[in-house]
Amino acid sequence: MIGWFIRKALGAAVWTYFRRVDAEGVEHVPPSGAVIVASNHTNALVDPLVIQYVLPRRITLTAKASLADDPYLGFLMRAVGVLRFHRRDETPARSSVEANRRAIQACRDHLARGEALCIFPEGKSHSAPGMLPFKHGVSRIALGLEVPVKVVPVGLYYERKEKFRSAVSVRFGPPIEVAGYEGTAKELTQKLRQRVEALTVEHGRLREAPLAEHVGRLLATQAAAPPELRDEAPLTEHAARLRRVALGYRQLSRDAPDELRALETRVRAHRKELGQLGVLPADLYLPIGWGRALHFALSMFEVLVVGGAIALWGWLNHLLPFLVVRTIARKLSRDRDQWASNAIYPAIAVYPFFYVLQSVLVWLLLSPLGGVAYMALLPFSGAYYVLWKDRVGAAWRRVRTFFRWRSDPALRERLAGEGRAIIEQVLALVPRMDLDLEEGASA
Amino acid sequence: MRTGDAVTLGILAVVVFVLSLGLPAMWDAWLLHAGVLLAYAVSIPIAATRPVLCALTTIGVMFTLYLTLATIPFETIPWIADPALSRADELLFFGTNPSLWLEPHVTAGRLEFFALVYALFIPYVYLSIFLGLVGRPDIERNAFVTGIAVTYALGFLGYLLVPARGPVVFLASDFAAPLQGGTFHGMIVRSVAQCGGPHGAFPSLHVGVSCFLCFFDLRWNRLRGLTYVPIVVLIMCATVVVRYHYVVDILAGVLVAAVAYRAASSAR
Repeated sequence: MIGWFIRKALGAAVWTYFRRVDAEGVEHVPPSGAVIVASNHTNALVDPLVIQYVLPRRITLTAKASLADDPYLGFLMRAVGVLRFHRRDETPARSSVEANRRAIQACRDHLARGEALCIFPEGKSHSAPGMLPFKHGVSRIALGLEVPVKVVPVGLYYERKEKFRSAVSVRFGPPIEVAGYEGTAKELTQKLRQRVEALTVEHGRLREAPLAEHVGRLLATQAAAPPELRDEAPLTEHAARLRRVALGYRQLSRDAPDELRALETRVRAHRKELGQLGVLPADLYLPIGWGRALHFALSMFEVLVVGGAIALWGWLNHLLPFLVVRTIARKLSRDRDQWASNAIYPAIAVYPFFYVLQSVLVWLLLSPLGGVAYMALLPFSGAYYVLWKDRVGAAWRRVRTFFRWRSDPALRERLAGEGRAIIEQVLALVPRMDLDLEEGASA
Repeated sequence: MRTGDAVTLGILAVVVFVLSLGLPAMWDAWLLHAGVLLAYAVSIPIAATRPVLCALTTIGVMFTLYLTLATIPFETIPWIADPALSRADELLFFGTNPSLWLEPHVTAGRLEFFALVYALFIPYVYLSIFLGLVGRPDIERNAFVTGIAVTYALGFLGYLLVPARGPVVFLASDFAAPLQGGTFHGMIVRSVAQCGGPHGAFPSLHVGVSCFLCFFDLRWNRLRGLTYVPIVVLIMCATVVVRYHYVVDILAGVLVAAVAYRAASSAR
């Protein structure tokens, strides 16, 4: 019961923290039977939550044992049944070998019962631009089992993992059938790595990321008017496109470094100018006619006026727990890899605590019925506030861009033209690189 | 033929058939509705290339029917459903009539608040129709119009087959006093009188239409849908507070909205 409540609360926390959790290829995870879900690992304790969030079946999570030294995390891990692995650098060598043998056996027992496991073969979470070397744990667990096991590769990509209300893409690839696999553990690990690599975004160097991101965003516009705010494209599409851009980037830096440098300079200048104006690449081709603007204003007016009251109520009633969680996350986080974990895990205790506290106050000050009604409305108003804030924030950016373009059509024309030219230049390079920028990565 | 058009033709045909039962006394109304049926059928191929016009025609027919149906069921159908609906309410509330139970709790201030909520239905519907028709992709617009057509058509079927005037008329003698509201209550009383007085209690189209709009928005525009959830819930309460509907009408309205939403989701 406690485990069920914690899993639900963690799901709600993931929903709240991320503006979007976009999944692709969920059908590759069989609804029953032994399966290992193996993913890249870039957002500490949030990665397994995000994977569980998009999957209809329950998965058993794995984590490093030292996390359980924290009493709060230890309690959560025991409650949801996390299997613990021991790192050599954290545990005395002899005991870690023995403990890990037991952990691997526990994983094999789970699989023998037809359950699903989530494992991160990199072994630790990181913020490196590419994936770390894979450890052989998955292969050691999967190979030699009597039950047929499938290993499903997963690629996680975070828009900005340390940012509240950002987006995450979860891409599942076709499973590797381990039954009848005749290769070695090392080969299976290598194959798995290639499959995961095909589903995520890897940059050669950290400084490439923003430029590739800008090119990816420009390509997504297709030099056409942006979609309505409610029709934001899934991040999975962007992740697939970005992967192709990153691959092209790598190939170009090898084959035509001079051309790449020229393109880099152009993209960097365009990105800088848009950034200074506060304009998103998607809004480069925003129509500036009054008809569409009026329609937009009308649709936003009711959200602002009718929704504003609900959002204000939600904001006021969630301010205290929000500040508490933010303070905790700030105090605990040493790098951006930890921020989301340090916000999500405390939140599942802090928010219910404040919900009860505030409801008891209303109960005492007004009436028991008032207290119950107040408590029932809290989750709705809180959820509404975050959605409202996202929409109003995006609308505000679009309004600013609209007036900027209206006041200086020549600037709009120049930047839009430059955007088109960059797209054309990138697309002209595609045949030489044997890449299809519009095609999603296939495993 | 699109689903919305088929539904509109179907309900017009039912109305014309019901009016045939009242001939020759209902000759004028029969002629009017048969004419609308014919005109609508003829307009379908013409309007097919103009999706917004087509949608407006469907919605226009439904709004017109709402007004013209006011007294027809009471003159053509040989039964009144108010006693059965009131009894159903009592069964739902274990012997207590919710309309009568509410009476001491409805103060002048609360009545004004709920009358305002009841009136909010009008801007909600018109704004939704505008945003549902203009600037939408064809597939969404078609789904929207189908849902609206199904909601109204099912509502009108209820009006025709279960003719009722609501607690405000049927339980008038059981209430200690008529409702005494202020500006907003006066406004809705005058509007209802202009539409032919209280009629068409089962199902509640206030609830059916607003629930459908809310369901539809929750699917296509989640934030707008969530924005109106509290207002739709208040509209449900308001229809009972202002005595135009039984609780069972509200439940039927929600059911109608659910059916309409399913139809909209699979609209051609």
